[in-house]
Amino acid sequence: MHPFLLILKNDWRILTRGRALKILGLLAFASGLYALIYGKTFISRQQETIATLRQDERARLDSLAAWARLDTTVAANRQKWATATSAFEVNVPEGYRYALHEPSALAPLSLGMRDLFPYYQDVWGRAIFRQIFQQEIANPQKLSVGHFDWAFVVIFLLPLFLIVLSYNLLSSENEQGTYSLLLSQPITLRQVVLAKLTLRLGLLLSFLVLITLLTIPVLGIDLAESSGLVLRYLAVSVVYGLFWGAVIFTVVSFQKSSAVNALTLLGCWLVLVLVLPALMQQWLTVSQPTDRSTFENLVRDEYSSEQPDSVVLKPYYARHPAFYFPKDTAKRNPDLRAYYARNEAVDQTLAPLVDQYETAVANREATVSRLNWLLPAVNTLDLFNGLAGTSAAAHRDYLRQIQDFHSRWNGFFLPKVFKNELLTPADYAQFPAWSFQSSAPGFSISGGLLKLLLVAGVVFAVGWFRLN
Amino acid sequence: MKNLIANKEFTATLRDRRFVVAGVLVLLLLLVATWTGFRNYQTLADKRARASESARAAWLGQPEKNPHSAAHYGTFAFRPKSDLSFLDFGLDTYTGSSVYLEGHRQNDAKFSQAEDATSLIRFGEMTVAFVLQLLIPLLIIFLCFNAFTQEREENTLKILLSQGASVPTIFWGKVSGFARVIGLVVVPALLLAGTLLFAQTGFDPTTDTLLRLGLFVGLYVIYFGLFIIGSVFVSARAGSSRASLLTLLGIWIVACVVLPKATANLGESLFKVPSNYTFQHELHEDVEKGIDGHNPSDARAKELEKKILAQYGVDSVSQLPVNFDGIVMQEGEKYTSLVYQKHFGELQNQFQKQNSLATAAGFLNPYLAVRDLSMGLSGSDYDHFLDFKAEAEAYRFGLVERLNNEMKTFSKTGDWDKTVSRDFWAKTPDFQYQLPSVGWALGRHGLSVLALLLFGGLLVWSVQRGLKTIDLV
Repeated sequence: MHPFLLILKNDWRILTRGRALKILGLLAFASGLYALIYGKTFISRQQETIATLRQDERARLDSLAAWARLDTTVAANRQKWATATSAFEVNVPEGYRYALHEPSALAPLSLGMRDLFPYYQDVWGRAIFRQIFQQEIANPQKLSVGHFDWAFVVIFLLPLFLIVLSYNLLSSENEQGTYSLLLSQPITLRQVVLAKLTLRLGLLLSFLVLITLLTIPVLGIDLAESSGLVLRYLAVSVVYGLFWGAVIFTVVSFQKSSAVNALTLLGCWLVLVLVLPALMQQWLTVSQPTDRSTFENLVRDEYSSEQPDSVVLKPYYARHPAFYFPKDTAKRNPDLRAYYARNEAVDQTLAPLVDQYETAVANREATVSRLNWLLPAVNTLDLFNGLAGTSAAAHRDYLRQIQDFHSRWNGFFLPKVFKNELLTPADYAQFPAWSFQSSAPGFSISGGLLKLLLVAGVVFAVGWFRLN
Repeated sequence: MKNLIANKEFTATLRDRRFVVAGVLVLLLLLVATWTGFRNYQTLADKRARASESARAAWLGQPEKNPHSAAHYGTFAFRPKSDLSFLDFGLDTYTGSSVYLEGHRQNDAKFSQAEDATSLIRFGEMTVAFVLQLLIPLLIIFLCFNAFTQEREENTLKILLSQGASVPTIFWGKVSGFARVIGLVVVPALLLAGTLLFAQTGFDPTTDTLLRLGLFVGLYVIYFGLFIIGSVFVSARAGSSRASLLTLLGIWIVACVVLPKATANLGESLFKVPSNYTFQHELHEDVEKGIDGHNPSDARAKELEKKILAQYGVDSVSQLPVNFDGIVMQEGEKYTSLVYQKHFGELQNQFQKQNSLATAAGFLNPYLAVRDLSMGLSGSDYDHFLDFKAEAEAYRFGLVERLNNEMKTFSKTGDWDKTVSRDFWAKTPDFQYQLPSVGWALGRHGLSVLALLLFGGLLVWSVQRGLKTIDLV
């Protein structure tokens, strides 16, 4: 047998006879399983809410559609019929629709920012910026502690498991007095360390594959649709594991005592997973501050605008000449044209402020991704969140889709409001409907993965030359 | 003898290059955390003070209008940062910074900083509390894990014992030596923090702030003390340095990383809260149908009308000398307030239940008790947030009541066009928030105080007992 395989086999025997592997394996499996169940519980609660909202919307619109077909010769029907045929009533208070941020197949694996940001939004015909700054009910203490999801297990706990299994790869030989015996064999030190490390990485890989396989039945993932995502998710976990393998390889190559290795490795973990990201976060808040207090004052209701209707309508007609009908002087009750003009004016005032704010946040993200080299844990979490569609960027994309939908929704009703037309039962089938386009399937992991691999390669090379 | 041992540990540690490097790094981190925390605090405090002023200016600058329109226009309450919050951000990042105050409804606090953050926020913030709660204990482990094992491995323990030193003397001598080393790392940062704090308050801090700072320092002295005693004890009991180190690191990982997450997540899974949609829906139902479900709003309105007509001895609302709409709205406000109180109360109860898991775990895990108390003393915990929300709500209710009463007395029923003059706005008081006292804060965290003291007492007691029976050599 090749000495490499011999060492591998021997090491496997030692590992399986000790307690460490059994305890760690059990711990890892338990935490992985818990993470899956937790993620599933979290997302299924959101899905329940989404289902309720769908039902609510369906019932509301169906009853409106039925009202629009009512026989108006019956006096009791007139009120309902008037509501259901009024473009304004359906556009704003009665027929509003839900814009739903449906969780992607992998969302339970990496919950990301789904607890911080709302995942549904009722879209009315009024100013969109008066609507979208909502928040979902959440316990601040829970938000601050974060999730115990699969991403947490991979990023925070797996490196620790790997470290506990491998900090004494070489030092144990020395401490047991078998080191010289080992060196007398026809094998290089590199081969010894690599063989032992390969075994541990192999164990890690089988664990990752095992949990990934488990996700399919537990989360009910449709492989025909999401197998690509699942594989990419697995690839990111594996490369992150390889990165830690490289760190361990290099620390071991310095051939210090077990205690020093354990401390050094824990120090690396501490710096890469806790200290650097937290420091970076702190630095970002100080160096790139964001400010939303400017638009807090503006997100007030319509009463804030004191200008007379004619003053508000003039610039509005200039922007929308198609809505201007100078010959139509009939008195309307209620006249809602100024209402829409005011709401659009609010959006126009807020748009640049919101834009500025979003640019500031995007700049923060750009800074983080530029420094990703130094932050493998952050890089990995971003990749996970990207694949799961749970990142802050995915939320911003969702907000953009809401704004698009709002334009389409108003685009359908406003011509009718301004032309003073009633809705017909046939119009109900034409209403713009919300359909969410997840950014997850198109998310590219190559850039982040490449960075992770390169850094792992550089770290590995240091160890390779040390072990000469 | 004890002093001699302490001096030896102190000197030996300072000669250990590895420790000096680690210690200096932690000290640097602590200084950076203090400084950036303070900068962040200043920016936020400043921003909120300005936003608060501009909200007040907008309120005062309202043209003549109907008082009820002003209630719809509303105003904002901005949450001021507490003096000590730069040491421990606590939950401040995750709780809303402002509440929109308007008629008919209670809004939740909005615009938390966490919403501005990138995924980095999931890794925590480098605050002073972060360093003190997570990193210093690691430094302590690093310092103490071989306190006894090394002496045993190098056979110096026998010599020490033969000099007449008793086991407890050696133990407490070592503990006090290590405590001095940790003091060397922590004190400079605390001095900086204290100076910044005093400078911030114009060198005139309130007694409350001083008390909070004093207790904050005391809290961490106990925390570090427990860690040092525990680590040295583990070292005394351990068979080898390696075993001691692994045990201590295992404890740290479970206590500081795994348990906090697990308790919070389990709490959330066990005690369900409604979605915002359901919450608003149920609120609305209760307002419409009455809290008990048998008192619908139109029935309430009819009853009110009967009562008011009888009170004024007239037959119809048009004969009333006051504006009936003002009365209706104020009664409605009272009723919706009750409904909101009920629903927000239930929600907060549910959150407290979720958090109680962590508080209970604090009896076994001093990290959780210290985290809780540290936030409480810094005024950045959930209780302080709720206190702010309650104050803001009391202010809102008072303001709306004033507007409704004005409406009631200054015009007749149905007259929505009559306006109040502009100087009326200045007569409404401004929102002022006062941080509750430190006694209140401690009262809210009585369980955590008890947990920490109990854990500490038990640890010292069992160490004392354990030292008598320990087989050191």
